[in-house]
Amino acid sequence: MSKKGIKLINNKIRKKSLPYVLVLPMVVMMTIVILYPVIKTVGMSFFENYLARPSVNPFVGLKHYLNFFDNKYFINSIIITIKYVAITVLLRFVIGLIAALLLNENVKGVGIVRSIVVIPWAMPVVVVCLLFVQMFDFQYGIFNYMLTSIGIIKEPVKWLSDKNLALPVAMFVNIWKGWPWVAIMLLAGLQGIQKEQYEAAEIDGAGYFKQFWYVTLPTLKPVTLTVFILLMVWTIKDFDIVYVLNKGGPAHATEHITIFIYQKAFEALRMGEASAAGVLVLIVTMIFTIFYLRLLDRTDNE
Amino acid sequence: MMSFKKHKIVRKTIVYIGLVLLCSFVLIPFFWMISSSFKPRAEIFTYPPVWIPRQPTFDAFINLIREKPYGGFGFGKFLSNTMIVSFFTAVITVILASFASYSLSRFRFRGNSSLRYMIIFSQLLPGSLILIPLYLLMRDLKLIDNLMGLVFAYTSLTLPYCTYLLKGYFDSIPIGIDEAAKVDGCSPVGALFHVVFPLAAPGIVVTFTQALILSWNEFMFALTFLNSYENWTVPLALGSSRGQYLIDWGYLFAGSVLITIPIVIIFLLLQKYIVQGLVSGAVKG
Repeated sequence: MSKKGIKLINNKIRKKSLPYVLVLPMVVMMTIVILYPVIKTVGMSFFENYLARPSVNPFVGLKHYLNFFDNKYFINSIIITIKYVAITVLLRFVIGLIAALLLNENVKGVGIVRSIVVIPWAMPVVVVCLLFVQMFDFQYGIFNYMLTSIGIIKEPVKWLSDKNLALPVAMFVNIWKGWPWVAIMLLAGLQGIQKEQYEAAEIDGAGYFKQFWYVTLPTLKPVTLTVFILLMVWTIKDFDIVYVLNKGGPAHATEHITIFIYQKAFEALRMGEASAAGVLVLIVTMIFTIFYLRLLDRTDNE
Repeated sequence: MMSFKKHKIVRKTIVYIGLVLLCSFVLIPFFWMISSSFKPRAEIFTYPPVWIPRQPTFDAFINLIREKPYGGFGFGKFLSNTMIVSFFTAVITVILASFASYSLSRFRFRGNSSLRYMIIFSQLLPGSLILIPLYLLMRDLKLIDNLMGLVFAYTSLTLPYCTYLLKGYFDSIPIGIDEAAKVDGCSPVGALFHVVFPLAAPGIVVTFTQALILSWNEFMFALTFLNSYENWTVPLALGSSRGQYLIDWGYLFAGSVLITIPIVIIFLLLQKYIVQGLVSGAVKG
């Protein structure tokens, strides 16, 4: 074969392999830091894991999974996770939607407000937590001071160490930090609505609420679904807020599933059991992911 | 029935009340943080609390920066650790993500769509799930308590998200531009470096910033992978003080202010682009 011919074939191979060469480094990295850990977690969940004696890690089958059914701390953590996710997702959405509608109004100064509301979203989680720990402080906290001076409460309240209040406080911190993201996503959705649609509705005699119901909400549907799915998935894996506020305490009152996994793995050193709980979270996450992918494909095709 | 004008005034009033409420909801805690960082110790531990420091002082900031052996917080070390980790994470992420997302955006190859699904899935994956094997892996590689080890772990958080984000930017650059470059005699790689990357520069900057912010704020991995306090990042140093018996709120507030302000400024400057990327990344494919 002539030199030119070889060069041509080489070029062809190079051209064909180029896409793979470009993605390869990323795929290798993702395999090491994501894919391998996921598979390993699934594997580990079927074994007993003694950190100190890795050579004797017996296969235990579904033991860890079956044990969860009568582990009251596990069941407790599931209930807390459901409460935490349901309430914070709903409230972040409601506040975010109201805020987005307000921020979409064409009034003077709304631009500045749009910048201000991003602040909680931009702040590091740990900073937000510490800030509220101090503000909710029993003795010197500003919340107790404000609430007692308005007369809502008579005595200062132990927000963080009361086992009935610790979870609502964690939810409050989560909502305060999280609603701006919802507002901004929905605002972007609102700005995609054509003015003519409202004008047409107005000509048809629709008032504000009718316009909201028949024009705004249907157009926001795809964004809303995305926001809901992402919020659910992110909140299930939330760790920082509850950990920094109370480490899952007092008396397991804020111990949601991620804290449960973390403490099983790194404090009780029961890696197998922790992995099994992780796999359960994985399954739930996968269900949401499938919904999300369907949603993406649908918006792609439109 | 209400007249049109009256209706408009009512609506405007409601909007303004709402906006003021939103602002105070956000700004009261934010203001409290800044105000408290300038309070002398006695004013932090006082009841009723004071909104504006009566005797403003920089003591908290001085204590914050003073080295640990001299009774301070040793913030400088934590800050430089955080900067090193976030910088390297962002650089590695952007390099890997830009090649990969260019390929995903431009070429139809076998595995393209399954790779895309994998990226979306990894974005939604709970960190706690990969934490345990990652910890064991890093222990075997002797990367525990090592800043580069943390960078390595952080790419698992940043890489899927940033690849996805960048793919969106590349998709918005018409493919005709690559072809024009090829007609001018550029190889595909040449077109990438000379034409597409410069055009995607704003997107690359935003992606870099996003990776930077993600690792700048991260807490759980830092908590798990770093032990000795010389290696701590700022979020870890601040977060760990919570369990201590005596908390010096002065320098916690000062430290909070110092790491929050740069991020808030970046956010405000890049807000438009961040929102754009966010929306195109999350809503479209």
